Amino acid sequence: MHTTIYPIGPQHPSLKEPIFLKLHVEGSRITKAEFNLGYAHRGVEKCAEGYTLDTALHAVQRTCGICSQCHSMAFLTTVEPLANIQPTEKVYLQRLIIAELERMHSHLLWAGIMAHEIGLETLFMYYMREREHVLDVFDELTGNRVHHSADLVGTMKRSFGKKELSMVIEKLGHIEAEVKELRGVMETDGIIASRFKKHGNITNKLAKTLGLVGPVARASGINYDVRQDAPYMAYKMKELRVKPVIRTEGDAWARTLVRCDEIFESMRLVRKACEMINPNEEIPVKKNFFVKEATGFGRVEAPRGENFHFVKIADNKIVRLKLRTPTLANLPAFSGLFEGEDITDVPVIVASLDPCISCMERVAVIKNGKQEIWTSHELFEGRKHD
Amino acid sequence: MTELVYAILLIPIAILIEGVRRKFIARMHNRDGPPILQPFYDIVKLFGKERYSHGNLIFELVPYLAVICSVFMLLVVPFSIFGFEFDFLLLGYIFILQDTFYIFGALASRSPFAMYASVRELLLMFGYEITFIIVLTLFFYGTGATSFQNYNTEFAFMQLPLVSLFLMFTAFIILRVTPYDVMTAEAEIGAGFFSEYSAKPLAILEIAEFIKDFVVYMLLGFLIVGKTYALILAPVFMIFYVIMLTSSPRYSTIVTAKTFLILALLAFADIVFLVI
Repeated sequence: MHTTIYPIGPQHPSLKEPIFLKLHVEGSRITKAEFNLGYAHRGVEKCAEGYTLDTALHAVQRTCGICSQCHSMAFLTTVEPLANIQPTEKVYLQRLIIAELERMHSHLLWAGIMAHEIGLETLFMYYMREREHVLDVFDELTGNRVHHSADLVGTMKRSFGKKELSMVIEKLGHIEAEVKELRGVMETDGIIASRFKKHGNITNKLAKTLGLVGPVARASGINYDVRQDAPYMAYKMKELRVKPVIRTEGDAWARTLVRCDEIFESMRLVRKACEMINPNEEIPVKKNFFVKEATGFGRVEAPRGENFHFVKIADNKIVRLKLRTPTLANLPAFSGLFEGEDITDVPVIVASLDPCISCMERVAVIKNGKQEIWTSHELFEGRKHD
Repeated sequence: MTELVYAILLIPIAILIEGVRRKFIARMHNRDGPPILQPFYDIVKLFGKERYSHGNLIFELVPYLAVICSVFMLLVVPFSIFGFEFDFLLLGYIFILQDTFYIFGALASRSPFAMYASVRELLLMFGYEITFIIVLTLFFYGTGATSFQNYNTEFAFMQLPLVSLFLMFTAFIILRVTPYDVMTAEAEIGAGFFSEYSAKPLAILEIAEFIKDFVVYMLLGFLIVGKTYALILAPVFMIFYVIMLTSSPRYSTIVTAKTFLILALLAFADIVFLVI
């Protein structure tokens, strides 16, 4: 049969960010899929090099528009021990509240996009309406709706009082009732099930081989969550232990339900943390520090999976910063998933992996179009640019 | 000649109905939505846009042919009320002709999205166009009329319930309403047939689509309920399809094709049932 090339991207309605999917199609069946990256390289790592930790934190928080707090937490889990700073319990709880609200906001946005991909604009709008409540909470807690910028090394910019915490609880009540109903729609609608079930299958073995992370791995039956397996900050507390949502089907449907259920798990954590916080306690004032020389890494569970930061400091300045976002870990699964599927299912499969391309783009080869390979030494020590 | 003048006067109403439709969709989505006159603003703006051609002569001609088809439909359905004698099967032919023009235009544009839209349309035409023709025939066979002018039956859905249901089903595809709108599935194939059109040709194509939608709403009222209610019922059917559009996700291409092939078979069975 004659093979046609069907291009999806770099600009396409089903993609919210630039990635080029080159699909080899016979009839409407996909026989082979290739993808190309490098359309949104922003140079966050280079941006932070040569600056102090406080300034670098500013850059790191702006890596992603959706999981800004998770990047800041990954950076702080790395540098706070290096700088010998121990924040108080209240700071940890406040960070957890923002991080879990962020997970809710990310999953609500994602669920909306998933509905949009199958033509159900109404559900998309309803999910966005609920997401708006979460953004209102962010506005109240941090002063910013998207890039919260709430953290400082060792402390936070604001202390949450009674007013803020009661607003969080009140808004959660609103969101929970609505999201429960919307999840019911997702779960019971026959057409949604027919579009999601048995599409984009990732078996447990494949997920292990490729080292997938986050809800994608958990939907394939892998019980891995950084919050559970390597707890950090407030997640170390007994009351705030996470119960990961695991499903075994491994298809787009399983990924949908895992994320829908994680919203409720996050709500539980936020409620618990709000109860545990002492509203009258003040958070510590920011202290000055000096790090002579140190290297460290930290990881946190972002909405999309494990978020890994490697930091090398010399004379209180960052020499090398490496961020590995969860999308990079999930990317190997990309091309294999489309083989044998119909063109109709491409948007569903892409959306079910929840890629965050702009946060992931790291290396752009612009030198004569030739391929360049970084050595491990260069990766750790940084590279001298001409 | 008077009919043509009336038909041209009805074009703004067809565009206005689209504006109201957008408002309804927005209210179903729980948002404010654009002003009711937005389609007019869109069209005026599109006419003033810079224009590039992305295809050959057929590609250039298709918008004009499509809008001629649409105006012709407008002559057939509403104006048979005022006395313009057309054979009823002519309407079916015009619908098929317009879809064929879209397919030609899409294939001439060399856009893969338009190409897949036309492949899907061709696949579905075997189902819904056949059903549409059968349904038209059955309406006139069942009521004994020979043309739109002497179709005087009121509340035909009591007499022909199954046929009315089939007509409403085929309208899903003609109006491009979910769950059966695979040829304009935005997430997969962009704007479908219209992917490569821009500026003036796109404005003309949009007018053609608005008129066609208006005619379908009128036709549903005309055939199912009766000619005296046709104009009043057009907005009611519009609201019905808005509710369907906003409350249902899209089936995959294969499921849609199977559904409409089964529908065509059922329509055939209905012929046998009615004739015997």
